[in-house]
Amino acid sequence: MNYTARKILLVEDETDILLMERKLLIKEGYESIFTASDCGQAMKKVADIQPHLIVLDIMLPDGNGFELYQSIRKITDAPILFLSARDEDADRIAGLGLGADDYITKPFLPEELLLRIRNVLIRAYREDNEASQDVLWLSDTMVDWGGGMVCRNGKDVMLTAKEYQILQKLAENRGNIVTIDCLCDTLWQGENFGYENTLMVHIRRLREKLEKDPSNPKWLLTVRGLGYKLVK
Amino acid sequence: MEKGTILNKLHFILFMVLTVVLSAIITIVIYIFIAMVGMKGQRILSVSNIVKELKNTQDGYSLSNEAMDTLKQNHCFAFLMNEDGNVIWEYAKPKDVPDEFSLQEVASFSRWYLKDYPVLNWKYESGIFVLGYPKNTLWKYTVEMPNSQIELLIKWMIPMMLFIMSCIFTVGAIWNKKVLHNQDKERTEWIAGVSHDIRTPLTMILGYAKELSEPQTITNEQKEQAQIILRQSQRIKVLVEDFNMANKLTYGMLTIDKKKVKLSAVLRQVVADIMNAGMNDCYEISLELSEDCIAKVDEKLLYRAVTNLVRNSINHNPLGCHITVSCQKIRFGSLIRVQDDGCGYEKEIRKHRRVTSKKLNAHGLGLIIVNRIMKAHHGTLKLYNKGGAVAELRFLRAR
Repeated sequence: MNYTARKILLVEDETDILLMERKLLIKEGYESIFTASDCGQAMKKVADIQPHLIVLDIMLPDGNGFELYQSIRKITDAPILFLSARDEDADRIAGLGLGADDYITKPFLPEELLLRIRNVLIRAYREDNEASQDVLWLSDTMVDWGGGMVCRNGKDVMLTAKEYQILQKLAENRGNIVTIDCLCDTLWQGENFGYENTLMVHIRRLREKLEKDPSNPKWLLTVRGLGYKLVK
Repeated sequence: MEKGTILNKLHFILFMVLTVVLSAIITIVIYIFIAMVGMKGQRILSVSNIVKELKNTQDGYSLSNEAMDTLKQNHCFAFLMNEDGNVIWEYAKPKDVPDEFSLQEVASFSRWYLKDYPVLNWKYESGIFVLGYPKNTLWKYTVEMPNSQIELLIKWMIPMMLFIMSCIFTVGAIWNKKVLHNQDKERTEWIAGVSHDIRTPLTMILGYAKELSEPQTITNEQKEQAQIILRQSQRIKVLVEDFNMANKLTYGMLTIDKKKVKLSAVLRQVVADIMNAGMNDCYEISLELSEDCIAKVDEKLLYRAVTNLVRNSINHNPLGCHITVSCQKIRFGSLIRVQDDGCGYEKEIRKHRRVTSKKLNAHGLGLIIVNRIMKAHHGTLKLYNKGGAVAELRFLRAR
């Protein structure tokens, strides 16, 4: 099931914003979008249509989004995104603390909303996704996440646990620089002092498995002094 | 909005409180003084003046009519006693007052009361003139105190007054601080409310401007205009957020979560995120990081401060520049430096080594936020020009 085929419920009391969000999602290719403008309506629609993802405003005319969140959770485990004009840290922490999948503050850029909805959908319904989602293609090299191996020229090479973690972190942020510190933190939680050289060794081994010419990498690039990047 | 005004306000209110208290004290003192003088003039007849009116004539003693009227008006009585204690003249003497007195009785009423009548004495020829008031009209007791105690009291009077004054001052200051804190809280909440209300319409402007700038059906000029709307509303978005942040920092409404942080890691994250967000090729950022710089800071706020400085370098040099971000250990802590080879800080900022908020206004909210963040960390911000703009953040050594 493609993620754009998922049912999305938007809960927002401002009709204009609701319209705009709906338009944005339709333009992006989403097919089933439902809307509700208060808590009562929202609860009814959640029960009726069983949405795959719910976007909640925090301030609603007949209650607040945090309470609504808890009521919805009793009915469904669908991912919930908070969308609010309140940017207080306390609200953000309250929202994420309840277990919400994301917290977006207004004003947001249209792309930001779309990207976050997409990410949450993909993350939440990973096992339902087609096989292609579980594979990373770097030209003729295929990384099989399920098997934890790299397949090139018909030969399979296993990835070590650390290499797997590095590659996953880089793939999650594909196209962006991931700092040395961030990678070390993923590999050696908390105790990341003086591991930079060890990280370099892991990266070199990873390149030998991924790159045609490991000393002249095309995919896994070093950004001097900062970190590494997996080219898009 | 500036700290300057709030301090002035604090001083002003303290001054007002002090003035009110002092004027109250002075008023009370003056009041007591007037009351005492007034009492003396109106209620207590002067014995010496009455005595002057008593004449010893051949027919015996006689009081002038004037004095008699005064005694009558005040319901007073008077008598004259010779050296043997016998009353030899009297005026309106009550019946319960005897006609002769023993030495003991004289000694007693000269100090206290005569049959509950308050009386005042004056010597007259070889006898005693006694002026009596109606019962319960005059408080009459003598006060005795050792000389040393009086001296002590006088000696301690000024320190005592100072002590009382400082007490009043402290109470005033504490009360006043509480009031001001509540005012600050209200103000911060109000500003947070206003920026909240700006966010919703801004969301729509951003959304539709983005949509307008995309389709091919409109002319290039219209597309450009839509992009201008988009860019400018993004600017408002940043401004509203910065304004809210600066406000919270100014009034101490932001919880600051200080932890030991490896500075090089934060700086790398700042630079990586700026590069990831897409940076024009005309800018170049290089890092000179010492890996052993540890400071006790709020990581999010430090991230924000350094981001603001790097963004400033980018925004103020539209033709491109080379930015160097560095950190190193110094004697009392650590130093972060953000340096570019561009146009430098404006004169007003550079001239004042100590950065005041007033001077920073011209440079937008970015530097104000940096300044506030440094203050919240008890660190310092120094801005100067050396082949471009240089900003130095100093943190004290983490304990």
